[in-house]
Amino acid sequence: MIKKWLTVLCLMPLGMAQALALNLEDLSARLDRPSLVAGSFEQEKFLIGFPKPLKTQGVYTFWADHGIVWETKTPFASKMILTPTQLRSVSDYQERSVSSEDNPHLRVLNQLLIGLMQGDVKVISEHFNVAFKDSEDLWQMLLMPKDKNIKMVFVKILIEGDKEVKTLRFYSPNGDLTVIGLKDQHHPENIPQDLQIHNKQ
Amino acid sequence: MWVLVVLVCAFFTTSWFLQHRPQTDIISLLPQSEESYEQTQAQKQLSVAGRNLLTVLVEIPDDPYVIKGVINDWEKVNSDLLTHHHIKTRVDIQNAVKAVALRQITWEDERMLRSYSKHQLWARFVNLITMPPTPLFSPQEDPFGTAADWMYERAAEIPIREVNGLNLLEKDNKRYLFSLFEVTPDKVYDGSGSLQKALLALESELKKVGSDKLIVTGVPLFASYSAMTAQNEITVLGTFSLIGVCLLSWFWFRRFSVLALILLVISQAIAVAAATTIAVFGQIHLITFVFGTTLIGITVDYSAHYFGKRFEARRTNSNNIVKELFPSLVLALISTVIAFLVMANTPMQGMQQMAVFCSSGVFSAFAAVLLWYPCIRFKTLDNHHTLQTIGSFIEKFPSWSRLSELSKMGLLIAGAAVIIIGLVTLKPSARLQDLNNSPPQYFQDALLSSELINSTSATQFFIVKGDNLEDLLQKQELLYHRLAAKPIDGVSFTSLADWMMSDARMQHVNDIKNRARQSINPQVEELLGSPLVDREVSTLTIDQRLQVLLDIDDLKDHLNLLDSSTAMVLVRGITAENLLRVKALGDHIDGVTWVNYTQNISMTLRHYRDQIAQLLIFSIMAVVVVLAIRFKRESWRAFLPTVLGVSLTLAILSLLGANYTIFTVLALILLLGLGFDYGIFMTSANRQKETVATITFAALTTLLSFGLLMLSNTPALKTFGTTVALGQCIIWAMTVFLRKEKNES
Repeated sequence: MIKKWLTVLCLMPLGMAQALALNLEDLSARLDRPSLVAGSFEQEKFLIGFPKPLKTQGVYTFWADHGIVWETKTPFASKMILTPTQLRSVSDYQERSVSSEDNPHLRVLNQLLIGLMQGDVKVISEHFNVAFKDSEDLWQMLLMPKDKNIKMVFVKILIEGDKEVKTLRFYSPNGDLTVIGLKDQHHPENIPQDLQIHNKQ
Repeated sequence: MWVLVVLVCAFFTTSWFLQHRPQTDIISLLPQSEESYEQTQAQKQLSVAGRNLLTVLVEIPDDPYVIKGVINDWEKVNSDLLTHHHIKTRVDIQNAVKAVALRQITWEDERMLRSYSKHQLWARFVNLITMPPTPLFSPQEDPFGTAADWMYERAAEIPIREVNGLNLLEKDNKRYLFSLFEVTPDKVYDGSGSLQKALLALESELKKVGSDKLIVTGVPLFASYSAMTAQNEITVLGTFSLIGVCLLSWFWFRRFSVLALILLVISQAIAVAAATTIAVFGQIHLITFVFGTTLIGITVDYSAHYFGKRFEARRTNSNNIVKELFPSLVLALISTVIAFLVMANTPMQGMQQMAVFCSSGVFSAFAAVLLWYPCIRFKTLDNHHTLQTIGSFIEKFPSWSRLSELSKMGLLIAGAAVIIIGLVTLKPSARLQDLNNSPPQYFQDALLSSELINSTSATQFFIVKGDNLEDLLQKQELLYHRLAAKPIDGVSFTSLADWMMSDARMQHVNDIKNRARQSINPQVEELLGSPLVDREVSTLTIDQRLQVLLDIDDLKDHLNLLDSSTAMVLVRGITAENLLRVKALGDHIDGVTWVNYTQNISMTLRHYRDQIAQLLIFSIMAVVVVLAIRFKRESWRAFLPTVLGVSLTLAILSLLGANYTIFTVLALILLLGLGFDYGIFMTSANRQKETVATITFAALTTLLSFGLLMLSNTPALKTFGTTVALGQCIIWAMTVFLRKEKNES
């Protein structure tokens, strides 16, 4: 499939190739879309007002249509469970839950993150204007929010990947930049308990 | 001269109606309770806010865009009636207040910052900065997410979410599409019911796409229904009343000339009445016209008495009739006008208008009969057989003087028993609902809409008055503290204190925030290379901070300010069960007043009901004295029918389970004014047959007018009609029953 697209790209002028080379449907078809995937992440946050970026590492599990468990291991342990309707954060000292029903941008954000992970074209196109850049192995997708809810949180989102989503860059209106790198993706056998609990609820 | 007056009035009324339309809204009928200036201003602000706005909620069965399409098409078809009105969604509010959020904090977060340990604060900070969804503010600005929490709390008060151009609401697992429209007043309040027809069409279209739950509410809905029913009632009641009067007049007097003159007097009375009302109030309500149809039955009385006299014998000199009738007519006019003027003493503008309308109409009829009729040269009128026949027939009815002593005793005991038991079992009532004729569905939809939209109560709230803005905010904050200390399920406040803090609280909160920052700064510096920077309290003065809020368009309606040191604290979630507990939150705070508009209105109605009842008793006594002076030993025949009529009417209504309201008392006052006429004319009559026939004619026409009022959809007018109709029957019967027989000295 990828080779076919690369052949098409080589035979056409660059501008036309870019226009015709890749769209959301193609990308969705290109991506592996597992229902259950886990991996590790490295996150760097460049925060306005602080000279050092915040670097965290951890593991994640994604269950299609149900949510994401985001477990930070270093430099401090914390866990975030993101579902279509809720954002729950757990640490040694507290547990906090925010309903996405009460927070419009959070609801959309949850849908977006879950949608991105599973290559849901409808979610992406509903909320963003999309521009693609396709090179030999990697593709880049620039998302510019249409929705007022999302514009409050992101100026733009830049996503890179091949068969899987590899890197996500979130640019915030306040000047912060969050870079998330995903790796070691595999298909776990068991669904995380945190998501199972939510599913039962 | 009087012709000139009538022509001027007719011209004035006509030209006014060409440029204006009658009032139709219920609010203008409501009583002005004896309340403070601030309460009046508060009520005005709350009632004016959505005066022409119509809320439409549609339950979404599946695809919201299909529903949106139906709504859009409906709006296009009815573009002359209404236009789409922009609503503030959560995002509008969030966007608007982001600029001021950093100076705010929720009550819960304030407690959190005060009570959390260093470790807990660190955990909160860490959670905030590590979450992939980036916070709304940078960690330097808002290290603990308190500004964001405050924004979410403000936005959460508005349950309407904008999602891809749709305004959506969710509750109990049901989704609704929300739309707000501004109506065109001239089109909607013209009494044609165009809004009701349009909504029926919308309901039909929605059913075709599978949505069978349409919720509509707003002042325009109630007002247009009120206008439509008033228009219908004016047409029906007015037409039937007029036809009835014409038929009765023809039957009684058998002359077209008499009928024409009667109709002329009625017409000019209505013209003068309308002109006087508009001149006094600058406006006239449709309900006034509905009530004004009773003029048809009242004004005909003067014509009836004139022609009754005219037909007594062959006469060539009409002036003598006027001379003979004048004292009785004046007495009758005074008693009727006084009764109406008592109505004007109520705090309800609607009642005041009706009083002015009817008393000026009655005076006009009096003037027309006295000034015009003598100028009309009839050919000699024969002794009228119909009047004699009717009079003879009625004279065969039983009378007091024909009864045996035992029967008299029995009647007295029975009458007294009915009166005493009836009065003892009176059911006093004072309800705002008496003024409203809207269908129950409208109220159900208003309640459901209020729950869905999470709106505040417009009838129960606090007014907080401070010495200055700082004092005002501190008092509001105290209310919030009390609610936080003793939460009431489902209850929350909305006020200026949600949007800005008093200087005292701001300083306190700033100190807490800085202490919290300092407690975690060693760890922050190690992690991110520099510490959290302490923030200074805003350099803006309290008035400048208020001005910042006032300059945000989307925010002005949420501040509920009445003036620079007075504001409302509106309440969500009030129920009958928690009302007293909510009220108690404001106890013993100087400057905090609890307003319960519904209760205030009921108390006002009750107060005036009782006051007018006292006036009723006083009026009876005064008229009795006047009639005693006029008729001496025979005066009891003049006043007793009305006194008994009023008492028995009240007693019988009570025994039938009717409520005793201000409208009952006003109707009794009116009965006084109308009923005494019969006794006066009967007692002063030389020829009883024609007089009793004329009185019967007058009673029947009045009964017709007020009897038709019983068909009104407005409970107040229905009560009026029932009371007067019943009372008229009893008074007429008593007048005939207590008549002087020929053989009595």
